[in-house]
Amino acid sequence: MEQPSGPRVIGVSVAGPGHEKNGVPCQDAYGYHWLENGSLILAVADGAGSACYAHLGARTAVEAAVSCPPAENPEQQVRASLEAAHAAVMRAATELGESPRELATTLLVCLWHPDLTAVGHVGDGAAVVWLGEERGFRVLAAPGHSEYINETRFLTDRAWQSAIEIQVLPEAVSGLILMTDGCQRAALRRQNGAWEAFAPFLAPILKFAREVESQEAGEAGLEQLLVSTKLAAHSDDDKTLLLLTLDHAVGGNG
Amino acid sequence: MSLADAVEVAYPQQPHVATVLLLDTSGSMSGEKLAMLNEGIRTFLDETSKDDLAAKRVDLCLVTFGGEARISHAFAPVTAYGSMQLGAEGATPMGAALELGMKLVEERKAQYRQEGTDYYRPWLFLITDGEPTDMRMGDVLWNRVSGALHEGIAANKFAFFAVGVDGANMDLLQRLCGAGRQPLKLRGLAFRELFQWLSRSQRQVSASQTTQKVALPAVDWGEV
Repeated sequence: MEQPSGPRVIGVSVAGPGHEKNGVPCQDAYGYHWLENGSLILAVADGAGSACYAHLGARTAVEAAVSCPPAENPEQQVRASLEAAHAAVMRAATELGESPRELATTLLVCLWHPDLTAVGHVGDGAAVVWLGEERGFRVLAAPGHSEYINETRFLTDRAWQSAIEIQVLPEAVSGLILMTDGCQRAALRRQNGAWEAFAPFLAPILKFAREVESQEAGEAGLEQLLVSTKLAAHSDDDKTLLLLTLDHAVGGNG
Repeated sequence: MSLADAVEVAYPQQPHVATVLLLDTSGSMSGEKLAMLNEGIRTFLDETSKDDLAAKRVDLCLVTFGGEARISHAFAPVTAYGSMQLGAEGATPMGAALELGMKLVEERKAQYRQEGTDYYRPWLFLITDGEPTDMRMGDVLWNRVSGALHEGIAANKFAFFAVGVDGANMDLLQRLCGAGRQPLKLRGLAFRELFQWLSRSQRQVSASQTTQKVALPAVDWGEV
């Protein structure tokens, strides 16, 4: 389905400097799909560094999540997407003759509708919405709860369903940013255990996305950011950003 | 202005792994043992410094216990350590050292949380050639220390390793480690190999992103 004029999606995944150095492929993936009714499904996934087929796990999860047929209501939709992704990754593991752990991946699925945004989430990474100048950014899906930085839940865990977090925001948003954990420490702050969006990171990116002249130029600009020294020094991990903007103002009048 | 110039990152600093080395510097450690220990620490500092990621992530604190238990070097990156020469004398206040180590670990984590620094599970690493002179199995301090150690390990508050050198009381170390964990006996005075292993292990933890369990390198310096 063609992208309706107006909303624009820009997405980029880059391999982290550590992976490049060791010849490991980028283990992040992203995808999106416009539905018949004008809704948009988006997904980002981060394959586990220790899993041999992490890149395949992440890609399989994303593709299954965004191609999931529509469900009756938003919460069911994101849940169905997660289930479809889980089933697809398990099938891929069986076909390869591997344990599902070798395709371990996180997954963040988002259903955007003009009046509502829903997210379903297993593992780390985050989704932030932009509610306009007055209300600013809000974290809709936060990284999963774990004290230690190198511990997260995966779609392939036996108890994966207990790690599912679903949020539904029943209002219109002006922008949406999904990210894997390679960007979460740049884009989020933790205050007393609660996650908050860090505007000095997100605002310039959203502004750029709204003002850039084309999707291609947007993706090039985002890619440059993710491989920049500033971000490479900050995190060794693969990085993904997937943005939805609803109003462009090419020429900087936004 | 490029996008990279325009953005600020919320947490520029890397995640940290707090590591507390609890080092027996009692009188019995003097002489060759001490020389080898000092050399081993130097090896650890050098090798860890050479690894880009570990150099930014390892947050090291040295506690010695010889006569008294004290912080010999407060938490700092390995690259901030100058030349270190530990001395050895006095009795073996291992109980006090363990309590100090556990306290330092919790305080450091609280500080990380306050600053918003992400962190890995901290390490408490004990090296001793004897047995404690400030506590005996079953006395008040012993019960407090071993209780706190076992509770901390069970609650995943830290990873605990105990290494016995030379004439160390391995039985006692086993009691401290609790069920399911084993103290390790250093082969001769293979401090260099021990510290090389420690450096490799820390580098592995530093590099681990989304693994629940970090598979540590094989122990080539000890006997189980």
